[in-house]
Amino acid sequence: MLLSISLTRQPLLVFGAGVREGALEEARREAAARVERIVSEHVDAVWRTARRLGVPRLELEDIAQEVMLVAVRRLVDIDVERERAFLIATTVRVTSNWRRARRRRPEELTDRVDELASGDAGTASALVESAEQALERSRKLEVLRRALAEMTEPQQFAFIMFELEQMTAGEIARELGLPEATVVSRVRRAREVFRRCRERASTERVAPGPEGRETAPEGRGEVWQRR
Amino acid sequence: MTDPSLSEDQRMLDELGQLHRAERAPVDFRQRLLARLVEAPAVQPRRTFERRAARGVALACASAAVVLLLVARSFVEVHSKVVVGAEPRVAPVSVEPTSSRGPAELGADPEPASPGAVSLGCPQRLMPADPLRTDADVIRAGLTVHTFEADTVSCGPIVRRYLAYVPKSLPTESSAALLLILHGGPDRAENMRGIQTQRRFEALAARDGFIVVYASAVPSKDSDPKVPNEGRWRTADYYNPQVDDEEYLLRVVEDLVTRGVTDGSNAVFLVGHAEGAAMALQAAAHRPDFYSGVAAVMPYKDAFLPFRQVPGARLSRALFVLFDGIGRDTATDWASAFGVPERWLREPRVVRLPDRVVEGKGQPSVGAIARATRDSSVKRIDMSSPERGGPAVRVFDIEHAGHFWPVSSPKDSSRSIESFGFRNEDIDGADEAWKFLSGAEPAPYEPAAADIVLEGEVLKAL
Repeated sequence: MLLSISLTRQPLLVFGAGVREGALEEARREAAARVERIVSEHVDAVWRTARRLGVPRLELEDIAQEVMLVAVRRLVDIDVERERAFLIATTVRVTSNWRRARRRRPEELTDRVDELASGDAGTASALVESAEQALERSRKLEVLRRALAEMTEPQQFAFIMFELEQMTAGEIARELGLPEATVVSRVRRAREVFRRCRERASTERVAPGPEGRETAPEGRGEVWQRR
Repeated sequence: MTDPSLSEDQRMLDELGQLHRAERAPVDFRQRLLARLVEAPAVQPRRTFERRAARGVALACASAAVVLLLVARSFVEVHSKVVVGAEPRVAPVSVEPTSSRGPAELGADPEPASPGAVSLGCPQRLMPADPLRTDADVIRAGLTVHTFEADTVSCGPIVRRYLAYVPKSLPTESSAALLLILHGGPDRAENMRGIQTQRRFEALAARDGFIVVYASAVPSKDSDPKVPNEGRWRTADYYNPQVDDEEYLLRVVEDLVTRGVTDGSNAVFLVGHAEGAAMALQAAAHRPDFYSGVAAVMPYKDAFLPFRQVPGARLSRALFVLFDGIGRDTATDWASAFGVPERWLREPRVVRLPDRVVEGKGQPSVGAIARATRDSSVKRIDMSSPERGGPAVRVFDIEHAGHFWPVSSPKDSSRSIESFGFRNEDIDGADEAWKFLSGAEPAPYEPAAADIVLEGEVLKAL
């Protein structure tokens, strides 16, 4: 049903010129195959991006579905090489809208650290070896969640694609149609936000001794090549 | 195993990246999603398509008919005004000062300007009874208030207003630069002039010979009815399809030409505070061929629009005064779109400015915002072409300050401080905006790694 809506534009555009018998069905089949491929290849990235941006599990399906609906509606506008970037950028925007709507309805459920600590259904449970490790992992995820919440939307795109999805600055620049310097600048600013959040979290955890706050670690330098 | 030579940040990011990439959407969700997206229409009955196509054509015809009717109606209206010599579009420049009382005490409850037009979503029900009404000191300072009628989409006309300051030294039909100053929201032009910018733009205009206009937004649902002409701009954050504020700004410029104040060749600059900064960025991004520069002071997080330069554009200078770096990436994007060489985007000149005043000293407020914004500091970041007056983006990154327009030595009340936090007093927003937009700064420079100066020390490239 949704595909037929998304394809309505195409036949209407060529309506006056006449449509070849069966062309519509052929276009639909192609679009269906593409949607199927997009879902199978990228729904995980959409899911975990929304998760990182603080969407609680109860609402993840709605957000992921909304992102995919946007993709289906704009199927003809999305370059095949830029699908992942489009979907991640859309996830950030949809999540941002969801957060604004949630601010107006504060009584709704939110995700908390204890929920994260209990483990996600979809998270790599094999990595969790003990309760201590699970707690440590949840603390790190919480730092990440707070850092992402403090970033601007462009920083979120860049940070998620570069640091979490392991895309290179060149790939991101190409997929978002930006200069590479812009991407690098965004990632650098996003890292500063992340560092601030991490330092704040360690200050909260460790009671200050006689020397006070822990010394901030040295940066690793600015290396923009994937290892 | 993680590499011990990596920083703690990087180790943590690597670990988080692994956790992140290991996360999968549940299988049953995938199946449900696919079923929802792809099912059914693989072979949709052709008659359904034909029915939809016919419906589409019918809809298009109906829309065309409505558009034709509207065009015909507006033609008849314009024609009748010309023939009959009906009321002029621009109201005469006459203002009666109200009183010397404070702004909060000035206004009566707003009454609909046109009771017949009142309906949900129409701005008429919020409009003030007298748009010409203003504060007494505005008139004493030599400003004038002007109004004109502007159309809405379907609610009929509304009266828009603006305040103008034209230095006496300027001739009529002047080609001097024009600064359109946009207040925050909800706020009013009079407060932007007084409380926020401390009348500094007028002093600069008198000294350097340019024209200042304080634009005035349409009242909104959350405007204080006791504050006359308080309004909000129609940005993405407060969208009202009935009002077109970008058109309003163009009409203000046109109105100045109509009244013989300007000759139409003037360089027009937009300067906005908070929501007004968002409006200024939006208007500039949509008409780079019309505006020559923009200064956005304390825009909020969602104000940053992507910007694409157009051939032959006049827009080549943008100033961002930012709170804690929010929006810095947008500034880089604008510089990139202006054609500032990539090398200088990567190696901007960064200077930490001296602390002129320690904020909060002796201030009575003890609120959380006020206490949190003491001792703020400012970094100035330039991304500009090497030639003087060329495309340039300048950022003032203010750390630990409130949402106020920055200006030195303000006398703020504790109520204002509670609303806006403390001001940063290291820079004067008006001085900096004018210096930058007029092309007096930044001076040409040859960026190099050693050019990056922070707190008096030369740092390596960031």
